[in-house]
Amino acid sequence: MVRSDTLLGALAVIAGLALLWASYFIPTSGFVTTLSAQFFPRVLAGVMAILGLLLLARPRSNTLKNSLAPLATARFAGFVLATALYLITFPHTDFRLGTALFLLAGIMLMGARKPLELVLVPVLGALGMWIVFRFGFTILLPVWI
Amino acid sequence: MDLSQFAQAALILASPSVWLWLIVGTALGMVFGAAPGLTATAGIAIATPLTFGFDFASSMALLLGLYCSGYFAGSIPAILINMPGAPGNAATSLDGHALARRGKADLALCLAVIGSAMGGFLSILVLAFAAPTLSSFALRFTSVEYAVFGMFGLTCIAAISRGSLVSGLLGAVLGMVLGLVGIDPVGGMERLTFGNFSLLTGIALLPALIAFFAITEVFAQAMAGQHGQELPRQEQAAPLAVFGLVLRRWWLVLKSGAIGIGIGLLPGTGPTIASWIAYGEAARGDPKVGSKDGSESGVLASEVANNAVTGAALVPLLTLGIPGDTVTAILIGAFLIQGIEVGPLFIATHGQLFMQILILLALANLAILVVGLGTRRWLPLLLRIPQRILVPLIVVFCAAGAFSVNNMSFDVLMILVLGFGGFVLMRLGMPMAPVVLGLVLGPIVERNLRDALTVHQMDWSVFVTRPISLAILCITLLVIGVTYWRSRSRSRPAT
Amino acid sequence: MRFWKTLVAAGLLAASGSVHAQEYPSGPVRIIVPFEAGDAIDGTARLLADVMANEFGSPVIVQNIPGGGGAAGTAEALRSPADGQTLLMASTGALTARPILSTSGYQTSDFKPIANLVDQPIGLAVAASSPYQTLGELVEAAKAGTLSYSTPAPGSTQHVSMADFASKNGLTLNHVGGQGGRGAITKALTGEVDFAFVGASNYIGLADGGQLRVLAVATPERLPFLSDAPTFKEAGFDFNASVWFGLVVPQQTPEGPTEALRATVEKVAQSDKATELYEKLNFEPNYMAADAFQTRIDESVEQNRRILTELGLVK
Repeated sequence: MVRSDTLLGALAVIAGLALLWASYFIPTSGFVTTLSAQFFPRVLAGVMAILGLLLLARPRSNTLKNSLAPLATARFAGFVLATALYLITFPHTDFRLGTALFLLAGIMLMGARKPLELVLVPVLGALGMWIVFRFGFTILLPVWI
Repeated sequence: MDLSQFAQAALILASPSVWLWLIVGTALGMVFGAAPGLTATAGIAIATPLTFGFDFASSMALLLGLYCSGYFAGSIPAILINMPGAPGNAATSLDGHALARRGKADLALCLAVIGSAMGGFLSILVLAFAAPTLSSFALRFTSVEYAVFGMFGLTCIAAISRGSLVSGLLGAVLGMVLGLVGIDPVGGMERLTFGNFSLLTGIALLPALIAFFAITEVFAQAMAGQHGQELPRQEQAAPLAVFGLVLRRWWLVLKSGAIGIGIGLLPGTGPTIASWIAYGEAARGDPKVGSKDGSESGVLASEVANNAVTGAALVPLLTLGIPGDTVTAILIGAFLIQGIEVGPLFIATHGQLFMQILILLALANLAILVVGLGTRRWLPLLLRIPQRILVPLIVVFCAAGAFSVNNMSFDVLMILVLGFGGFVLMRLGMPMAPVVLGLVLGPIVERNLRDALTVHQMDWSVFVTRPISLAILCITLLVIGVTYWRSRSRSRPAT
Repeated sequence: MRFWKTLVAAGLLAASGSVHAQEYPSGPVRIIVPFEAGDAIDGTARLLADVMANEFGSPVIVQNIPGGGGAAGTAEALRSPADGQTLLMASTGALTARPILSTSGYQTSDFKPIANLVDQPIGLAVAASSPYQTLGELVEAAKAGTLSYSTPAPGSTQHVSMADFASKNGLTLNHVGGQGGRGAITKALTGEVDFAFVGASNYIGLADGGQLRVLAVATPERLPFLSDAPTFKEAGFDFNASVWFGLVVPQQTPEGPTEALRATVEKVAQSDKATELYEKLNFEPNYMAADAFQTRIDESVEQNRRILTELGLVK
């Protein structure tokens, strides 16, 4: 059984090494008369790798299957996909339209089935949220009209 | 304190417009504080131009009301849905939401209200009686002291790691690495931006907070689905009983208040650091703090400390003209509009205005009590919304909130990437709170360490030859030692 | 009551926006400020926004996009649609030094001017406890040994021009960024650095209270609000430095809105109300029409390129 900590530790070691490598490409400035901009990244890279090795050496009992299996359901994947689509298209879509569509998909994936709910929540949610931000906080959300 | 001046200043209480703007300010603060992505700072920036036509007392009533309630209100969503409304309330969500999970949201809200008001009142006392003395204390803090102070702040990781120190430390390091991105504050060159111009700003705290707290929580709920974690029926709490509970913890209140005040005095810090350090300190005294069940002490410590920043941050502002946190930086403009230059002469030449500020701060904290305790009964109604509707609505709120931080479409992508990444790491056993703490403290440690060595020409000995720095270093080592010793003696019977 | 008026106006505007699509402005106007709320440049923008909103009869919203020494907000302004609805409050350093100093995602020539609004003269100050009584003494000390100083940020106009002063006069100076003007002053007050070099209006309260000594201001004449402080010229150094804040729009913005904006800003920036408010905030109102402003931008670019090349800091 692969432990969760084994994966976490391996990720940490890899990330630490990657950071160390990346630190060599950080430009240094002629102003600086102190530790360079590369110093702190290298310290963190080292600490990260050491912590990763500690996790690899003494992993806790939780298994990888336990932690990641619940993520592999169709419903969860659907929800993540809907959220990702919503957030990626957010700046380019009319807020009221995008939000209504996302709310419809979101509550269906979360198990809403009543027709009234499927109509009211997206419409009222999208309009209400837009009114609150636009007029309450005077913040401009992306709109087409 | 000059009593005749005080009496004259108290005349502002007769003005209905002062009361009106105080209430408007408190209400706006509640909304700005509670909404993710919007903070008291944003609220005050928007409200300041409105005060152009106001008299001094009305202007301060609006802005100070907004300030105080804004620092409190982020605790409401922190407790109810584990989504801190502002960075200063992140520590509150750990125990506050754990209490809500046990049906004690009302108790946690009462604690937050009462704690915030108490922190506020403590800081007013300090502002009223010790402002000049304390401002000279603040002036003894240079980059050397800030650097070691930031390291001391990192000792809180032990308290918020929920049992696994190594993965907690790893989280904090991850947060600090995220804090590296952007323009290097010392040299002014880009760092780890990989050619992406949007990353020049760095990874801002507000989108990161939304990602690591709210979005990870949303994904956790989505994973559990409708059979998941509907919160249990909520119990009502009796405010008087909660008052008693708070008074029995008078030592914790004083300690957290002192931490908040001390940090408020220091320019360039703020409620976020104050609440984490107070929370970490509470956790050392009470093993229940930070546990799965949550503890009253954790909520209390964090909320007392973040509101204790308010009055204290006004100390350097009113005695030196130097802001103690981001809100007071904007207040300078509000003072100038009234034709007042804040600086060393302010209290001496504008004694009566100083008294007005004290009175208005006291009223603002009373308003938190009245409004907070008055509305808290309705707040848990939010939890009656079924999860299937609430969870997608939170996503919308997060997206709009992240977008509104800077009106940057990039921040919306950021919450997706950080939120999903954070959720996977959380499933693998990494706690999220240390990531946010690392993101706050990492840049403070790095910038001040490098600035200190610039000024002292690479002489590392300054960290032990300057007395305050040495003292903080000793305390840090002591805390680490005690934590280590306790964790050993606690784990021994188990093995 | 203005708050609610703005809200009502915003509501009406949203309702009628499509009808008047031909006229400018065709919706809420936003001014991007590439620094934190509370900085001097932010005050300039919010004040102007207030006056402009009255003139347009539609909301003018200020947005702070801080970070990267002004680079982030400036780059964001360039990414916004070039329809005249988005303006940038440009500052000297962010618009003319940053693109030379590092990769920033924009060039100075990506923007065209609306108008220069205010100037902020820069001054040099030490803590009251500092051993230096005059600029001359400080300069001598910096020739003999190494001194340190603070400015709002690395790459700021304050930093670049002081670095220029140091190299011309053979001084050895170490720079520390103060995260804004007031933060830079704090570093001087605590004795951490030997002097601060920031916008002179920041010093007023502390200088009056006797906690700071302003040794020199980098202006041709003494400043009315710091009349005790001599100029660099009086101390024997030919050195002037100031920061300016002005409005620009992306180069692709059509002529119609650009001209409408120029006309409106010309009117409101010189109105009594704006002048009075600017003076309250201790800014020096310095309205410059587009052509004069463009010349000034070009001069700044040229000067910064020369200084940064000499210092070996061109990317």
